[in-house]
Amino acid sequence: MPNDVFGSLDPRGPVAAEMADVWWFMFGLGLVVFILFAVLLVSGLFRDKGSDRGMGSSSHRWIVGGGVVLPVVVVTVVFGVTLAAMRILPVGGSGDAVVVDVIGHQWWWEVHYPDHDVTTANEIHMPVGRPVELRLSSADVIHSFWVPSLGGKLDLLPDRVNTMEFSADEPGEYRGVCAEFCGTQHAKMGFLAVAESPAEFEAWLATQSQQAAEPVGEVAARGREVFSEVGCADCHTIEGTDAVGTTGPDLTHLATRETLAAATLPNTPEHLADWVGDPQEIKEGVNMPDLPIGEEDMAALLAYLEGLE
Amino acid sequence: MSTHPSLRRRLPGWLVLFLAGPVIWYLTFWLVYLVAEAGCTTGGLDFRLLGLPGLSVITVTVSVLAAGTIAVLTTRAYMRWSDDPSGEDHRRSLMFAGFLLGILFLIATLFIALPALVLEPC
Amino acid sequence: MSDRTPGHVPYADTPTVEAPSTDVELDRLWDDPPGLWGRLRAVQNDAVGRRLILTGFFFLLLGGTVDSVVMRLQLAVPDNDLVGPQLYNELFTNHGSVTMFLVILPIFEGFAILLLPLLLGTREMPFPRLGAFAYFTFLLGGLLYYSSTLFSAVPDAGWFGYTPLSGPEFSPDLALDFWVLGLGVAEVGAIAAAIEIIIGVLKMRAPGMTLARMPLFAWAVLVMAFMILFAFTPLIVGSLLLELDRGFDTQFFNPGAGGSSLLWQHLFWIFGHPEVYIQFLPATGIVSMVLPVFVRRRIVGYTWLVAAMVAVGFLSFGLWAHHMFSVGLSPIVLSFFSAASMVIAIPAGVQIFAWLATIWEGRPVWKTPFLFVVGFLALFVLGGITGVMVASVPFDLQAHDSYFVVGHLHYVLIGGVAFPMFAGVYYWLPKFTGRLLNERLGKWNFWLLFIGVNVTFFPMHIVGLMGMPRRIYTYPAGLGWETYNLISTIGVFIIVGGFVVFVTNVVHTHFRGAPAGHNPWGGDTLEWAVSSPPLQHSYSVPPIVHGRHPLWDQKDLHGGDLDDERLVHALSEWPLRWRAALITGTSDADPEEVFRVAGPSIWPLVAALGTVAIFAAELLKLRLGALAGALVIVVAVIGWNWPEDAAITEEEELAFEERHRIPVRVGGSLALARWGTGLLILFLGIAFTSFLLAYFYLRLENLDWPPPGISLPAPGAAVVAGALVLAGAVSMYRALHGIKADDQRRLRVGLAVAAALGGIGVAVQALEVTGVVFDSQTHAYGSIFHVMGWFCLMVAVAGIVMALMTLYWAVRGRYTARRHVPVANVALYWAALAVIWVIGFATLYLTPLLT
Repeated sequence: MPNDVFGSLDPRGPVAAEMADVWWFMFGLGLVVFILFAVLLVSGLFRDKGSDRGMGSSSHRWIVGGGVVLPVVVVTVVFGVTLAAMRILPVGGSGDAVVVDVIGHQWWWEVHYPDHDVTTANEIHMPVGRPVELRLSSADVIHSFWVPSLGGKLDLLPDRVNTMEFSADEPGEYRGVCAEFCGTQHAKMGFLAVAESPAEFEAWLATQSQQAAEPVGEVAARGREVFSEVGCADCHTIEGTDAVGTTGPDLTHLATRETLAAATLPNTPEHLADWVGDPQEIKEGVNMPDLPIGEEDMAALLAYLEGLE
Repeated sequence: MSTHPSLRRRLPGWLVLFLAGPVIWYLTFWLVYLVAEAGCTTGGLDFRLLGLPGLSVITVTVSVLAAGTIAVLTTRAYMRWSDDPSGEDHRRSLMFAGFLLGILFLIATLFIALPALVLEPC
Repeated sequence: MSDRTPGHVPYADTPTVEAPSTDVELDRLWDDPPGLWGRLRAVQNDAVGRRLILTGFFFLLLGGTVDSVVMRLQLAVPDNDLVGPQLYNELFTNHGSVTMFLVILPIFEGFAILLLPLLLGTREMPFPRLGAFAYFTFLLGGLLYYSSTLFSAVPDAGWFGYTPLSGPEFSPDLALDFWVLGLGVAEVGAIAAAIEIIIGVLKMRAPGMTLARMPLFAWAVLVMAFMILFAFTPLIVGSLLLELDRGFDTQFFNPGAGGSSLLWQHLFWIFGHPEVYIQFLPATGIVSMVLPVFVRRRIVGYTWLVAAMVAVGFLSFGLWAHHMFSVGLSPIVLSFFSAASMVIAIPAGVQIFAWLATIWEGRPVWKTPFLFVVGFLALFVLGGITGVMVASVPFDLQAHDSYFVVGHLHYVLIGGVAFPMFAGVYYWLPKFTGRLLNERLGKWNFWLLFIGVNVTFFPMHIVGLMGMPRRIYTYPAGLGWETYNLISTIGVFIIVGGFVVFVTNVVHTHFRGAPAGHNPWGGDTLEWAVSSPPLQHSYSVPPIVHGRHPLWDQKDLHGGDLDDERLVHALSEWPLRWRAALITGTSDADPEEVFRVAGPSIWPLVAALGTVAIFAAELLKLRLGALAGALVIVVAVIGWNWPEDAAITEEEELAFEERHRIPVRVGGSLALARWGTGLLILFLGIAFTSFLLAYFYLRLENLDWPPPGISLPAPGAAVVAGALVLAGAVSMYRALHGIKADDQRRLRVGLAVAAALGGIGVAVQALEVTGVVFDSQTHAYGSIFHVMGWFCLMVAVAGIVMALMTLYWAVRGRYTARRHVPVANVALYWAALAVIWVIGFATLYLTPLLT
């Protein structure tokens, strides 16, 4: 999605900024070391050796100077910078942090706001300037949570909860991905971290904690029936209806989300039709089956889903 | 030329001085790693000494002791190397290698202790 | 040492070895038998080494080249649908697995086995049949792994195979079994070759070649081989646990039943990181050999380089968790691994500057091997710098599992490993073919590879920093990654061009290469003193060495101490009916023994087939097949070690011993037997330690240990069994002391009592383990209890079998006060087994009591 901010060196939060600083420092140092090496190598290879008598005893000074002193100094400095950064980087548990539970699935992200009783998927909303404490775990295999422009990675494990903290300095939609190979569709397991003003964030929470919107009109009402009949409800939950499946993402407020299929497609009616109609074409190997749904029923189903605001 | 090799063999001195640094570092590394892993997972070792968390105290103590041992043995390797004026003994350059290894692993061992002084362990 | 000015070396005219009239006869004696049947029985180091290298290159073309081209084509443009996710995942899994297990390692082990006898001035490797076994296991393991394609069950969980994705729940078909078991066979081969290399370097050098005079390549492969032993053993244990989970329903890695998802990562990376340096060290060894020859100067800082290689060997075992920085380790643990990962830059720096200093002292001769060395320096320094960067935890949390790491590792593995490998091929191939590779094609080969590597892998750093994760089969447009990926794809075709030129060059040389002569490069080490190609036995008169650069410093390669001189000449005249080689002192290289090197045999192949049968039986779930495989191995080992005809009379033997004051071992070397026993014990010790680590790691991950509902088994029976085994070990040592005093009765009684006590102990403990109320399939506690218990039992059973065999030979009066090394070896094994037993069962029965 073209307008998303993405990239480790395009930091939009203090954590990613600190990491980028460490990088730029090491990059500068590394460049100096490489140039030094390259000059020594090239001049050694091509210098004029007409009256050369070798360097005799100075050879060992090369090893001591270049091979010991130089790396010891460089490594000590880099290690110092590393430790300093590790001290600064938050590990979670700030008092005013927004707590978000993220559970990895093959191949989507389940997202809970435990303090607000909100459940969503593949989208993490956060107020600008306030830290977010992410409590990460997995429902199946190991995944890794990564929003390059906001911070580093942390793995989602099936047998423990890992905690990390980051925040965004400015509003924006920051793309995140799964960074640990997790099976067939590892490539299409993305999400969005949406940073917005505190007011917008509160409003979003308020919407999301509601039950699902009632279908408007007959077609959409028929769509709700189709949802149960063809089996969607076996895997998906829609709060306030009898759909309580937990294998797939919660769809209570599907229409408010930016993307479909774990940040694979923008959430437009056309893409929704493509996705529901033929998920295996969009995301080969995904656990969502191609269901045999008649044309009329499909139109109803889509109308219902599009109304889930 | 040697005759039939004897069955009783002690660890030869040159080997000890050659590999002392790396071996001590390696054992230290495993020891402090396992203690840290156990301490952080179980939440044990939850005491503080001189303002430092218990785990850090243990880490620093163990690695400083190990560094001291390496320093002593490295000095001995250096003396074995420099004391041999003839320079003909083939073990001499192994003693020099032992001295170099000693210095490197002295640094490596101190690098284990360093972070324990500045980081919260768990 | 000569008193010529150091630095000034006469490279044009180096000495050659003597060519006595017995050359032809010895050559015939050492040659492998002809025909297909002969080839299957071939054990000569040149056959084994050449096969390892060629098979490695074959797998490189298959898994290194074809896979990468398809992957790069797929990633050339966004949203590409050239290959689907499943095939792509299979491709990168195969690419990683093949290059890490079936390419670099066997090629370097092949280099070592092919070159070492020449470099060290001896006639063979110590255990030629073990070498042949190593090759066949590697080949058959590779084929077993690749046969997954035939069954459409291609491994797809990455070369690292993280659990639980690779476990039975998420990878239920056979694909991962092919991966675990096929590569498992190859790992067995890697360890066998490592044992061969360690003992070869330490015990089979020319007289006078002390440790401090050994060529640096020998040092490099010595460190490499020890690392293989310490790294592959935990991997084999880890693979065993994974296969038990997959095939026998144990729960080691199942978080739902007390298992741990991270235990596999620890076991895997304890192998996986050292593996990188296992590949890198022999490469630096080649550089340290080739570079001085092409700048016409002695290497600067020989001792520094030795220390650096040993340091890298150790340090590489303290940084495995830097592959796990993002799994949620505690800060202090992170910092330990970060520290070790950075310190390793120091020995790397020492190596780089030793080479730079040598270049500065010398005058480059721009031949292809040297070009590859210079290319290596440039690429490796870049890869090393990015290596220090990813050792920094905060930055690594961004770089980890991104394309930055893909770029970094290929600079290290292609620049740091493949370039020296090419340097080595261009340098040494003429020695074995007698023909020089073409220089013009060589330069094309170099420049295509050098440019191709940079074009392919440099952009990956950038696109990684832009957030592109690894192991994705496609990516959306609009993230700014398109250009970089397209450039990378173009680059890979330049690399392929380089490979094509290389193959062309080798083929061209085969038909039209210029003759190489003894020493085409003016090299300083012993291999350049023999003809190209060398005789089967390499040296009719083994050389005597007085320095690090024998060909530059010695006029005569066979002169020295009078005793030594007479001995090496005697070896060219006698014996001509059996393959004799010299064992020398570990550090001083004084002659210690003349022993009979094992000859051609079909049994290594049979043993390898038995090994594969065990693994294949597990794959097909034919458990009886495993038993058949084990029986085949037992038969093969007996055939393998069957005593050969004496070939000479005892009088001849004694006369030689008398004249040269050196023992003659026509029945096989005792020194080698002792080293073999020592390394076997080391191997078992490392395996056992890996089990212990797994045990305590699982225990840490479980608050309740044993889990609720299971009570700790009472230690009564285990205490009795332990006491019996200890008493058996004591009796073993009484037997040893008996034979030292030439007391045959004490020897036999001691052996019999040891076997009996051990047998009862094993029976008691086996009944106890099978009788416990919990099984191995409900909870990880039961899994590790049973598996570790059975491991200790198997170690003990092996000891009892050894005791019984020794007893058999003792009754036949084979041992005397002077010749009883087998008894001593078995006693040593029993000491080790007693220690393993006591620690093992104390861990299982007593440590859960401590909380």
